[in-house]
Amino acid sequence: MKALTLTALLAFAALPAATAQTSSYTNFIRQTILGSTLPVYWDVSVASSGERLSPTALTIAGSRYELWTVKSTSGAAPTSYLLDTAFVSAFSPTSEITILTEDTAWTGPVPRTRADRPFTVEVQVDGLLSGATDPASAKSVRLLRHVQSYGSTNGENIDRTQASLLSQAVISSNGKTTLNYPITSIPGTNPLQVKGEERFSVFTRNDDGSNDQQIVSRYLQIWPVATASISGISADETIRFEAPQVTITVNDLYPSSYTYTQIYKGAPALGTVGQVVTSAQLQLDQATPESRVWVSKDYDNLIDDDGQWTIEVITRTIFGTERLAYLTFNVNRTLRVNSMMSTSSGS
Amino acid sequence: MTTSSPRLVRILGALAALTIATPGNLLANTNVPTGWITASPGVAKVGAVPTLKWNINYPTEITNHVTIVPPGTVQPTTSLRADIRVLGAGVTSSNSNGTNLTFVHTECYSSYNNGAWTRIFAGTNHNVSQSTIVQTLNTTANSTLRFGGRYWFNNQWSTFYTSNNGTQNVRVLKNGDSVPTTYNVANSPTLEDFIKPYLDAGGKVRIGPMDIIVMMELTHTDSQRNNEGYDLQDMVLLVTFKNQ
Repeated sequence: MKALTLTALLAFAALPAATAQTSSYTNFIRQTILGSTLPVYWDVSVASSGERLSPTALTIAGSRYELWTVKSTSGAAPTSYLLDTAFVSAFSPTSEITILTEDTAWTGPVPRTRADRPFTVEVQVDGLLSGATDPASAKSVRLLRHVQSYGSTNGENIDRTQASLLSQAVISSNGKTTLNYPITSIPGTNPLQVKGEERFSVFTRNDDGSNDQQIVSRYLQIWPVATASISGISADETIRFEAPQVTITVNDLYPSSYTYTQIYKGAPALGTVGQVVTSAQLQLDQATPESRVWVSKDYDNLIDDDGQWTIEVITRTIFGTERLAYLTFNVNRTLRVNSMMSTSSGS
Repeated sequence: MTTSSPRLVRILGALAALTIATPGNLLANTNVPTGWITASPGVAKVGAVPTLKWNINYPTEITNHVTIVPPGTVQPTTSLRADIRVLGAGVTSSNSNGTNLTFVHTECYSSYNNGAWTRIFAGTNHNVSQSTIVQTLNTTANSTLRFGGRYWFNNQWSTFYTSNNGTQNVRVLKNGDSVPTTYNVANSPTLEDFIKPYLDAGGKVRIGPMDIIVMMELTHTDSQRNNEGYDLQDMVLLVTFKNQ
């Protein structure tokens, strides 16, 4: 991936910008004419979608086309995004990459999954030659795998030039290559808490590695496994009167999930259906995770008997139903009057 | 056009028609811009001029795809899927001294494109499951989506308030909107527990970028808007829009 040199964008920035909500976007396609000693660029501004002829004709080495958008936000530096590339030459293998995850309900343009879940990458390559006289660049392609953590963000201003190359492999035959990954390799101290993206790209492969061109590139987003904690009541605490206010902290709820708090009488048992604490639940169906803090006292209304009770936080995602946190406490509200009965008798 | 610059940057004459993009028709549902470009044919002779096709999706907000017609009507501007969920039904009854507080039977309806009212919920707040989709609508561009509600009490139905009956009893809000009560609903003693997770401390709606929330006041009239009981929490829906 390339960092955008803003030299080419100064002319764009000088023009008035309309806005779409708080940000506006300026798009352009860059044609890089290959083969000359110095790269030659043609930039052409474009709408958000469309069809047009290449700015200039092809040379013997071909051309690379880059689709860029630049976000302008009032009071902030512009952010540029290289969205995709295409490559055309007198000879070029073709390739397509398909990324499959378990989150099949997601209709967004970028596939996604969770940090603890597997995913599959299918790489289709066509057009490779094997003749003795065919050029090296016609005989194989290179598959690259990059990983990049979003850090504390959700990737809004990601600089993809900072992605780490994790591995590369040579594909020298036409057809589909299927790669199965049991878990993401995005770096992080806790592999379940990483968030970021994994990118898979197919490049041409010249003898000396120079001037290799990206044929196709696709990525998926990885979101962390949610966590939760319950505070304000201690494990095995006994409630004699009114139940205390509890604070339930939930972090990194999966973008499409329903997370709720429930209580039930008895010891903790997975799969138990309790009563939902209405002030501590959240239905999500969006592009990024959420973290919340719920301060709840209404669970007290659900306690109708003395004994041991369990309060637990459950999340339901396309991956299944999982308990994030739980705690047991005791309720003893029965008033006991201890007294001594005595009788007196007269003589 | 030539230049002696080592790094040859050529801005085509089309710059005068530079496009500042507004979100496209496709609901991107993403937090970063995404896009694709193709050049065909992928293999071409010297001198050929390939054809380029491209598409860009921008991070989006509900107003890019839906027009909210105050107080309570929604008009999708593109073909979308709308998943409707009930967050809560807050009409209660109690004795005159405030004891014996119970939720009462409440019904919620939707009407798509001026069609008949379809009942999408009937019951009390105890019957609500926030994760359950009570209705899915595949909407077309410029169609109309309206909502209505009523409750049963003292052996009779309340007024059936709707998005288009000329009152303000049915409101549609998006992320960041303030709940249109005359007080900060987040600090109100009448705040229903079920809606707390969808409001911030300032009483503003906190939902996803492609969500709307429908809030209904079923027990008070427009003239009673200064009454604390006018809290717009008698029936609350969450509607999520996505690609069909």
